[in-house]
Amino acid sequence: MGDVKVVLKGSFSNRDASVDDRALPLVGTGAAQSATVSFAGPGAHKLKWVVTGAPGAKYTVALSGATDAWTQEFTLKGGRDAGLKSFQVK
Amino acid sequence: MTTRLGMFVLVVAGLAPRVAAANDAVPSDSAAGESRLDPESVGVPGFGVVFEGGAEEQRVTGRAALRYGAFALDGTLSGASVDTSTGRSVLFDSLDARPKGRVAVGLTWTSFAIHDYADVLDQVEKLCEEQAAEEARAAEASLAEDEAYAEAKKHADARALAGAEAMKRAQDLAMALAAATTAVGEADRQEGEAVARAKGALAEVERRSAEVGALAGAKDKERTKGLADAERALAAARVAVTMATLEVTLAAERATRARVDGALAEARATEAARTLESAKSAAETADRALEAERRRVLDLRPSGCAASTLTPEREARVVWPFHPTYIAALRGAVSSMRTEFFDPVTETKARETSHPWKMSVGVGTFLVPTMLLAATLSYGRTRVIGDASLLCEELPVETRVDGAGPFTTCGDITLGQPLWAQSTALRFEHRQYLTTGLSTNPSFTYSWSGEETGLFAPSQGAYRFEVPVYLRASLGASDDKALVVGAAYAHEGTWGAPQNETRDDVTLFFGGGFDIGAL
Repeated sequence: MGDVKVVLKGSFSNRDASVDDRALPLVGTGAAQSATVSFAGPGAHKLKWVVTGAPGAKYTVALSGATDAWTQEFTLKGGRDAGLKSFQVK
Repeated sequence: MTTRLGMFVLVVAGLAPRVAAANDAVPSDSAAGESRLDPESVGVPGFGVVFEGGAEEQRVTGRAALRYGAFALDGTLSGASVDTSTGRSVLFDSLDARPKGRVAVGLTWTSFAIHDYADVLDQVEKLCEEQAAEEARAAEASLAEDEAYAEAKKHADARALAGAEAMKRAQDLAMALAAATTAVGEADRQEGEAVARAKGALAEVERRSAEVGALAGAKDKERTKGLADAERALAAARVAVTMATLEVTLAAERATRARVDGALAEARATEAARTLESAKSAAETADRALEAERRRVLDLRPSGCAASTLTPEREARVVWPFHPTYIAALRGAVSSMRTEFFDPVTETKARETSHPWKMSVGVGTFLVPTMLLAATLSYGRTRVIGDASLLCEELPVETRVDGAGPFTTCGDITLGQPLWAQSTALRFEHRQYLTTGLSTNPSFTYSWSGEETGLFAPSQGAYRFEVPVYLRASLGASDDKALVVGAAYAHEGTWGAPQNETRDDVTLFFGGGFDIGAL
């Protein structure tokens, strides 16, 4: 069993995320929102997210825990963005 | 535990008298570094502190918010240096009742959900795969032109060749070792057979010798003949023994030689194995260097993909659905208000602490991600005092006879008994969500108030039109720091009053915001 932490951080007015199409209950103060997902065992999974906010604002998505740590910065070019990231639970 | 502070915002310096502070139902989401942090926000709440300064009052507001899924719970604590509820027009008081302290709790819900964007995510996923394949092809082509990669490949190829040669040599030596082992076995077998034959010949000699001895007692003729035969046989057996002994000697020599050869072959095989391991290790090192070079050239870092990382052409192919996000906010606030006043009945100075309260409900929608339209309806009860100057004239605080005759003074206390009043306000606003550049947040508020009776008397009220303009400068690569300068122009007027009044207000803001810490 492994726990993977998902963090969305940045200047956004709305945000939501899912892992394997299950919505994440993101919790947080200010601009940092996070959720932890538990997995029964090793395997491949997919994180998806949607963010809206000010055009040009940057935000980061990060994964840590029972997977290879990953952080990437994105830009809300048109005030919105949608993305995905495949990850492997160890 | 990491200190978790979200947004910290400072706003100072109101250059013009902030004549009417108004209800300020500004939907300051503050996640983007709002310069004004208002407890009656319809927007997505954040975390921060605001200082506001003006000619009449200084105010500090602190706010913290916790978001859980679609809901956000926030708390606000604010305080002002003066009680501005005095000396105001009754009608303006409905806009300007700002007790010294206020605690507010708000709950916000937003309809934003990822499943509304499932189709967008499917499109993005396909376009990402398409782009990744194209990038991989282009990158592979660029590999051939990269000198460092070519050098690394040459090195890796040479190592691979050396490894293959070492492998072949090791295989040859392994075969030689196997042959030597077989030869040793054969030599041992032959030696064993020779020894067996020698033993057999020796036994034959012994048997023949016994026969010769046995014939010694036989009759002469038979003895002579048998003896001759036996002696011949004995001689033959002895020859056989000699031959067998020679064979044993030769077989032993062959076996010794085979063992020596085997040992040599084994030593060579061991050395070959070492060489092979070394060659393998060198080849692996070269492969790793080659892979690192390949990754450098191809920029194969593990990454996510989003609409924003697509090429402009591909990004333009993403069809975003029209999903307006709705926001609903419910908020309650209770204040602490301390008033000193002159009681005209008892003609004494009195003090009072009261707790005005206010409830507000707001709805808003993001028609586009950068534009929020919101409306807020609020109702509250507060303590108000009538026009001080009027009261001063009609109800003298202190009348003395000192030769100059009676006169009136208001002193520094409020005149007249405070009364409970109720006020209702409706506010409409438009908010832009911009990280840098100019943005504005125009709003129109209409408010009406009355004393204990006449709850809904909107025909007599006051309006406020405010246009704050903010100039934001983003600091840092991740836009988590920002400087904000702003100016707000407000025009207020009474509506339906016996004597209509108007006034204008200009306020300047300077602020900065930064986000520290993450969960």
